[in-house]
Order: sequence, then structure tokens, then C-alpha cells
Amino acid sequence: MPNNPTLDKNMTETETALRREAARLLSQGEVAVFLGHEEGWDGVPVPFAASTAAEAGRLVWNPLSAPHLAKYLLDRLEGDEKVGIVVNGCGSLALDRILKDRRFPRERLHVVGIPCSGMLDPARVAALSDEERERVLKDGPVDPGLFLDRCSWCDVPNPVVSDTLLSEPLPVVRHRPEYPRVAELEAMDREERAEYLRGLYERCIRCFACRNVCPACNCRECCLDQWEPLWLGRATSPAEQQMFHFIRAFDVAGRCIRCGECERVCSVGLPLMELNDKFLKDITELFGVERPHIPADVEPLGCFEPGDPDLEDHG
Amino acid sequence: MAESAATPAESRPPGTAGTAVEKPPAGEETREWEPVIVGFLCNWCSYAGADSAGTARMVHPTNVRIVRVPCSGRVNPRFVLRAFQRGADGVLISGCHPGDCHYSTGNFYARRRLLLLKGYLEYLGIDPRRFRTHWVSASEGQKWAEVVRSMCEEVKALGPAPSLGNLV
Amino acid sequence: MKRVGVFLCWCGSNIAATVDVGKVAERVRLLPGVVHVEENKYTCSEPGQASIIKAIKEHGLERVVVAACSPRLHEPTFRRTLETAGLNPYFLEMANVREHCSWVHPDREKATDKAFDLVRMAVARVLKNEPLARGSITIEKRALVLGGGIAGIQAALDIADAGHEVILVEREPTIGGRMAQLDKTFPTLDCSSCILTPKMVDAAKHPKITLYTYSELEKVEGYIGNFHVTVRKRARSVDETLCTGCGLCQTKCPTKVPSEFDVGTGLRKAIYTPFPQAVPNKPVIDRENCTYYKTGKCRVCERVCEAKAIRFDQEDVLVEERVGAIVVATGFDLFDCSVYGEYGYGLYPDVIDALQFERLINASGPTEGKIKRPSDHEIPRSVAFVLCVGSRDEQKGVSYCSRACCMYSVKHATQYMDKVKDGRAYVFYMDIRTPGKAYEEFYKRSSVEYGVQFIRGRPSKIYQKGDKLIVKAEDTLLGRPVEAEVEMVVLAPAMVPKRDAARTAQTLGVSYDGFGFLNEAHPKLRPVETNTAGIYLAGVCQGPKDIPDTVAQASAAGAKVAALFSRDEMATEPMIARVDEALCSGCLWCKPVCPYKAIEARTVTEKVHGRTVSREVASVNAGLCQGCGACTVACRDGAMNLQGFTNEQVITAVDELLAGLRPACS
Repeated sequence: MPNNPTLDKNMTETETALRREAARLLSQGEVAVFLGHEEGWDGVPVPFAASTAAEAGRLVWNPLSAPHLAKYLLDRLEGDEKVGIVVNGCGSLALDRILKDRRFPRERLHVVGIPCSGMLDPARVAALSDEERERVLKDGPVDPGLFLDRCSWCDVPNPVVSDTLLSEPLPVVRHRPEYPRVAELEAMDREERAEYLRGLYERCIRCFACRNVCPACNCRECCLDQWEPLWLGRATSPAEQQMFHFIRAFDVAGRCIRCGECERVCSVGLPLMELNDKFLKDITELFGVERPHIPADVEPLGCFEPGDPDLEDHG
Repeated sequence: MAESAATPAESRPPGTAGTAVEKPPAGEETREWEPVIVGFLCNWCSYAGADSAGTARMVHPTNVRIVRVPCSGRVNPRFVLRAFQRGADGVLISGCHPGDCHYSTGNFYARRRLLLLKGYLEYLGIDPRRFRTHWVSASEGQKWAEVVRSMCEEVKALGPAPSLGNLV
Repeated sequence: MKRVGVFLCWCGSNIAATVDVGKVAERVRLLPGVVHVEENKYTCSEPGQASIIKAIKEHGLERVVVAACSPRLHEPTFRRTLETAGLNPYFLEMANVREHCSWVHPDREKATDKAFDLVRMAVARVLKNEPLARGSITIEKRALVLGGGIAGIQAALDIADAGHEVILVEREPTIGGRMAQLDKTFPTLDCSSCILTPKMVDAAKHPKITLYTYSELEKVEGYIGNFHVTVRKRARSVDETLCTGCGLCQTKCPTKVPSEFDVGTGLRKAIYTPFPQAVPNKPVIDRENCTYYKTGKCRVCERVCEAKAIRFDQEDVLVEERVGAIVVATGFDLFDCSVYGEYGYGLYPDVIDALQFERLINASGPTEGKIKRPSDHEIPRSVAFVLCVGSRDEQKGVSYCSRACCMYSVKHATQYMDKVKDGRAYVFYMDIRTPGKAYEEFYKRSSVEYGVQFIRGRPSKIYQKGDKLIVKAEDTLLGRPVEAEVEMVVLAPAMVPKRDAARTAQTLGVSYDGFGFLNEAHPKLRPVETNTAGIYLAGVCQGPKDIPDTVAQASAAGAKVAALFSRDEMATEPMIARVDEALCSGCLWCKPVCPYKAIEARTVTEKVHGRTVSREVASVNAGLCQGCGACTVACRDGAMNLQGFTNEQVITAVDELLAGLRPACS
């Protein structure tokens, strides 16, 4: 594993600092609302917008604060009040995606950053026995498989966008991104792979959770919801379910931050990153973009090099 | 429009493309299967190149149906996915040679998108021989005819494409 | 559903011989929307077009499909037909059943099937066609000419003579450019300044031409017909309105520096005009070298100036101008010969480049036209001329041929032999290229009449031996090594773009090639236009060329501008990009892929839930957009669409073709 995620031992202090900072921002009127997490009914943090200093006391920061919050900014496009938001490393990529796509003005943001060495996957932790879960949340996990997938390769522990940092930046280790799942699929023969994909994607129920959570899916109106032209048929047929994902993956190609949230929230458990990772991998291999998951000022499909591989020779 | 996508095949006049896959109309049972290839050609180079092939009477197979676009940079990968979803046996995209784009840079952007698309289609289970991209200038009628000939032969040998979205 | 008429052309036997047009008609009749099908022997002929007009009226046709030849041939024809009949001309679709079908598919059955497919695709597509209208933009009938060399002067004069105002901007203190530095021109051996200086004076005196010398282009905004340009007039430190051009200041100035005009072969003062015939004949102070600017003392020029024209405190001025067209004639630099270390340029004083040689043989040059070698001012008894220094050398220089060097080197050798009767001239060449009127004859004469010796081979080394230079090469015709002992060497450097050509191109928003030469819109058919409408090219900024080609291109650019200015308004193509502002998320990823800088952000204000809110969306400038559609693919919202080639139209054509193939879709 290229990265060795761990749990921050000082999360409780960080949580206190977060509540204090959010309360300060709200009471001094620097922001009208602060986006963070509060504890959900099952103990797992859920997104929460605090609008008073008192509400800031409900904010939590713990090993399960996995959901990214940047997408919720789109609900606050109207108006001109300032919005506070808390991000860790990968959360800041989601935020930067929204900013680079010009979907929210930076000047309306106050970003509170938290360096992060790893977050647990709430679903994996939920599957543990009660005692085991308690131990894991208290003393940290023994099994690295309990972390979110993105933690296993994360090279962005520190927020790339922030106005305030709540703890010291962590050392950064860069490694060449690897895409083992794509490599595995590529190793299959084509018919086998087609069969595999068909079996998967016809399970989609088009609940759109993946689209809703994706920071790169930030259009005012999704083209796949449009009627004229009908980019995608409305019928509940395996063909259209699959096309939804095949088109969506291309639409976020070059802008995907590899957070894997789509996969995490998928209600039927589709391994959606197998599609997104394919593009990330090819963008590196074909165009030499070393870290394709980092939002850039120029997106790989919005530029070219005269010396790009030629298509006629290619395959 | 929803209607056009949903118009049932029965309401149409006898189809010509892909007749062997449908129930063949009476009297035509003996006709061999012919692939349908959708061609997206840029107006300035390749469409004109195909015109040149015509002017010079360079005989080539009939299977490519050309959709004219101003520039290869106008070809949205969604168009290609669409064609494969709806049962095209192949898709052929042709534009000006890199550096010769009528709009100076369109085919460079196209090349990036289509490079990604090519790998993606194979990943999704489409044989790469079914998706080809060529640079054909207005004077290269000969090249156009050869591209069509070789692609048609290859696709014909491959047989009917599994429709993307069905992946059967 | 709209009422569609389909017109199937036989094109004599061109289509009808291989396509069973009758059978196609039979099937087309059953297509949804089709209310009228008609066959014509020649649809493009007058009776053919008349029958379309008649059918439109009789059958109330709202859309028309013509199945005939390539739309590249007759689409404009049939659009006019529709217009005549009162239909929007863009309610037309053509099915190319000749070039793409009957001419290339001898199998009648298959050709007929394909023709029908093409027609049904066109019918489906035409139902999606929207009415389009040409727009118009007003034209500011003033031109900016950038660069005052022979190209810029010629273009400016031609445009001004056509009756339009011209602003001629030149970076140097004088117009004249490279040609002013030359002695004689090939193949006629006309004196360069004798033919150039009258034109310089014409340009300066022309009532329609405003001259900005010692000035640079700062900024360009807008589009064809409506450019807003900002020009920086650099401080001359001399009040041009007062200066009489007497030249006393230059005589008295104590500071001498190498003259750029003489390419370092002579000296100039810190206050100077580059050469005596400069236009305007008003000096500038070179502030980097002037003693006063360096030390705060001197002011000799100010003291001697009777007109009181010296202005030490003068500042740069930014001038804004509105123009309708821009001619770029920014010229070239020469390849730096010192890159070839083995030739000793910069090391041995008697190895010089061709432009320095021009100054040496020029009667108004530093040696008053006597060929004296730099080291000891002796007349060299032998000279080697080396071609392709930088040109045609992908390793060290540039891959292209600089086109003029063969001829001017032949000219130099001839001029040398003419002046030094007992001298010897060697020309080392790879190939001698003489593609011009009377060029080959001139080349022949140089060896037959003047005795210039041509050696085919690129020198491998030039080195000093005593007061001589040894040129080592392989004579590739004889296949043996040669050594020439000479007293001076003249290198012919490649012509390369101006150092800042790329920046100029970016300021103007025109494209340039890998070397930095500006790109013409089409190498054959639009050689003086750029891909940015309203910006034209003249001279070597577009690629190496000699004086006649430069002047021809300049006049061509002038003619293009005059043609543009012949109208008050210009029609714009309606097949351009259009933004659906309701869908646009304002990400503007469409902006970087636009080759014409036609996309800008625009703020829209709208009511949402009773509140007035504003947001940014993409906006397309109709004057700049050329309709390539690159933006439509960069747009993931589907907000950007290309009129005439809309997403709907393309998808419909694809769907129609594939409909009924198999139950793949919903």
C-alpha cells in the first residue's frame, strides 16, 4: 500500500478547536452559516449547517467525518452572505473542484482546514461488532482495510484551499498514482470484461446518489436530465442504466478528484471508480499529467500538446 | 425528442441498414450481412476528401454513412457512445491532419478526447477495430477510399457489434 | 410535424445510372413528415430550382431536403432557392448521393440502399433545423498596420490610396525596416534605398496615414470591424513638432555606441537617427546609453538645439485607436550565427553575417561602400560565402529553407567580384534555389560573367591561420574534401521570427507555428488572412520570403482590407455557437478551447424565488466566432450548442440511421 493511513490522536482537541473557530466566525458575523458535520442518528457524522454560535457546539470531527461538504455550497449560490466550511485534504480537493469550475465565489468562503492522516469508512465500521467498533473508534484500527479507499493512496493530507488551519500541516509523501483495479480489469479479455460490466451496471436503479455527491457533477441542470436533445433515454432498461454511468464517467474525465464518494454512496454497491480510474490512468499515460486528481487551472481535455500521441498510430 | 428515440422500428419503411439482423424481408434472405458504420467527418478536410474520392470515382464499400460536422473537434464523445449504444457496428471519425485544422486547433482537442475515448471503448468491451480515427485532407480521396475499404473489411470480419449498453 | 419536401436529383445519369432514384422516392414517401417527393433531372438547373419554389408554394412545404451532389458544391445555391420561395434558407438539408454514393458505389442495389439511408437521415435532421438569420456588424473603416518595413509601408499605402485612414506603427525610430539596411536588390541590382526611400516619404506625407514610430502595440481588444487597440508611444526625449531634423545634436553628442542599423559595423551617437534618410528625420535619445540619463550631467544636445526640442522629462504615451482591420507586418530577425561554434562567428572578426556585408558594400555604410574587412580594414582578396547557416538544419538551426539567402549570396558574390576585379569568391551551398523571375539567369551570370565559384558542400569548420581564414568542406559533387583559404567569410543566416513574435501573436490573438511565424488561415487559399477575422499578414512575419513576394503579399493584404472596408456592415454567419443561458453553469471551460477568443463571461441577472440574483454565464461574440464547435464538446451542461450543427441535429441523424437496427435502446 503506497500510503499508510492512521487516525489522528488529537481529534478531540481538533473538534474543540473547530467548534470554537466556527462559533467565533458566526458570532463575529464573519460568516452567516458554517458547513460541517453533526452526529447522525447512528453516531455517524452527517452534513450540518450551523447558523448560530450555539449551533456550532453541535459540530463534530471524528474518525468517521468522511462526507465531503463542498457540494452543499451549491445550495447557497443565491445571496451574498459568506459561508464557512471545514475541509480536510481530500475535502479541499472537492472544494477546489467547485472553485475551479467557477461554481462558487472564493470571496464568499471562509475555509477552515484540518490536516488529515486518515478517515474510516463508516460502512465498514458499522459492520463491526459493538465491542470491536468501540475499540476501533477509541484506540484506532488494527486493520488498514477499515479506512476509506482514498486514504490508501492519499497524497493530499493538507488542505489545498484554506483560510485557517486548525493543526500543523502533515508531511507529504508523493507517489505515482496506481490503479490496481483498472489494471485488473484490463488484464481480463474483452468479452469477459464486457460480461462483467453488464452484470454490474444493469443493477443501477438510477437513484443518482453518485451524481449528487460528486463534486465534478456540479452543473445547474444535468444534461442527462434534458429532453431536447435526449442525451439519455428515460426507460428503466439495462441499456440506459449502463449508459448513464458510461456517459457520466466521460463527463467528469479530467475533473474527477478520485474521492470515491460516488462509490461510497452507491445504493447498490457499484464499483464506480473502476470507470473513473480508467480515465485518470489514461490521462497520466497519454498526456503525462502526473497527478490527474488534483484540480488544475487548465483541465487535461481543455488543452493539448502538438506532440500528443497520434490517433492514427494509436491502436 | 423522446418520440424519435422511441419510434418503433415497425412504423418505418423497410430498413436497409443491418437488414440481416432484423428478420429479413421476403425475397432478401440471401443477402449477406452488411455492417453499418457511422462516419463523423469534418467539413473542411475529410468531407471534402470523401468528395474528392467521389470526383475521382474511387470505388469503395457502401457501409459508411457520413454525418457532416464542421470540425473533428465538434465530435462529442457522447455521439460515439450513442452510436454504439444504438447498434452501430463501427464508428469512423476523420478530420484534418494535426496542424492543418481549418480552425487551427480543433483536431488537437479532438485527438485528446478521442484518444481517451478509444481506450475507454475497449475497456467497455468494444473491439478497438470498430472505432477508428483518421486524418484525411481534402486532397486525399485515395486515402479516404482506402480507409473505408480497410475498415469495412475488418468490421465485416468481426460481425455485428455488441451494442454498448447491452454488451451482449 | 413540419411538412417536408424531398427533391431527388438524377444529375443527368451521374446519380440515376447507379442509384434507382425511383425506388428511393418510393421509400422516402413513407417517411414521417414527408408530404412531397419529386425527381428532377438537374435540380440545380433553373427549371429544377423553379420546381422547388413551385412545390414549396403548392404543398406548403416548411422544410426541404435535396438529395443531389455534395453540399460543399450546391448548398449555397439551394439556400438561395429557399430564400426566393420565402422560406428560411437554413430549413434546407442536403443528402450527398453523388460524391458519397453514386460515383463510388457501382453496385446498384447497395447504392440505392445507401442513398435512401442518406435521405432519411437528412429528413430526420431537417425536422430539427431552426430558422437562422445572418447578423451584421458595423465596420470601422480605419486600419492599423503593425510594422513599418517594406511590407507595412506597401500595405499602408495601398489601403490609404483606397481612401481609408491608416495608423502605421513602427517600433524603431524610423520606418524602412530591413530593406533600408540593404545595398542592392537581386536580380536587377536596383539600389535598395533608391526604390524604398520614396515610398517611406510617401507614407509619411500621405494625408490618410498617421505614423507612430518608436511605438509598440500594447493591447488589442474587440473583433473584425471593431478593434480597440492601444499603442505605446515611447518617449523620444525629443519634441517632434519642434525638431527641425538639423542633426546638430547628433554631431555634438559625446557618446558613441555600436549602431544597430549598421549591425555593429559602425557607430552611432546616444541621440540619433538610425540613418540619414530616416523617416521621420527626428532623432531619439537612447536613454540606456545617454550620459545625462546615466550620470545626470551633460545635456549637450539640449544646449546646441536651436529649436529647443529636447525633452528629457518626456514620458511614454498610451494612444487608443479604433480600427476595423489590422495588418501584421512585423518582419524578422536573423539567426544567431555564433550557434555554429565551428564557424568562428563572433570569434574571428573577419567572419561576418550577410547583413553586415550589406552595410559594408553600401555607399552610405560605415566604409562608404568599400569592401574592407573588419580586422585590418584591408580589401579582402578572396571571400567565402556560406549558405544555410541555420536554415535546413534541424540539429542546430531550423528545418525550413529561408528562401532568399541563395539569391542574395549570389548577389553578394557578384557585387564583390564587381568591386574587386582580381578577387576570388567562393559560394558554399547545399542547393542553389532560384525560384523567381530572372533569378536563374542571374545565378548563371554570376559564375559565367563574374567568375564566382560554387562549391556544393556545407563547411565543417572555419578557422584562422595567420591573417587568412581556412574554410574546410567536402565537395559533394566531386566527393572529396576541399579547403579554401580566404580573407573574409560571409555567413548567410536563417531568417527567424522576431524574438517576441509569440508575444505579438498572443496580443493579437492569432496563432503561430512551432518556430514563431504567424499562421495564415489556409496555406493555399487564404495566404494573407489569419484565423482571426480582420487580421491579415504581410511579409516575413508569416514565413521567409524575398522583397517581391513580401510586396505582393502586402498589396494582397491591403486589397483584403479595402474589400472589407468597401461595405459599411458585414454579414455574420449564423452557424455559430450559442449559449443557453438557463443551462449554462458559468464554468467557462469552453473559453480556453476557443481558437478565436470569442467566449467571455457575462453576468446575467434574474429573479429567483422573488429575489434578484446575478450569476456569470458564457457569452459568444458573434463577430469572432467562426463556428468550429469545439466549445460545444467542452460544455458538459449541454448549454453550448452550434447553430446549424446542433447536438439535436447530430443525434437525430445518428438515431435515424440506426433506428430499427436492433432493440438496443428503450
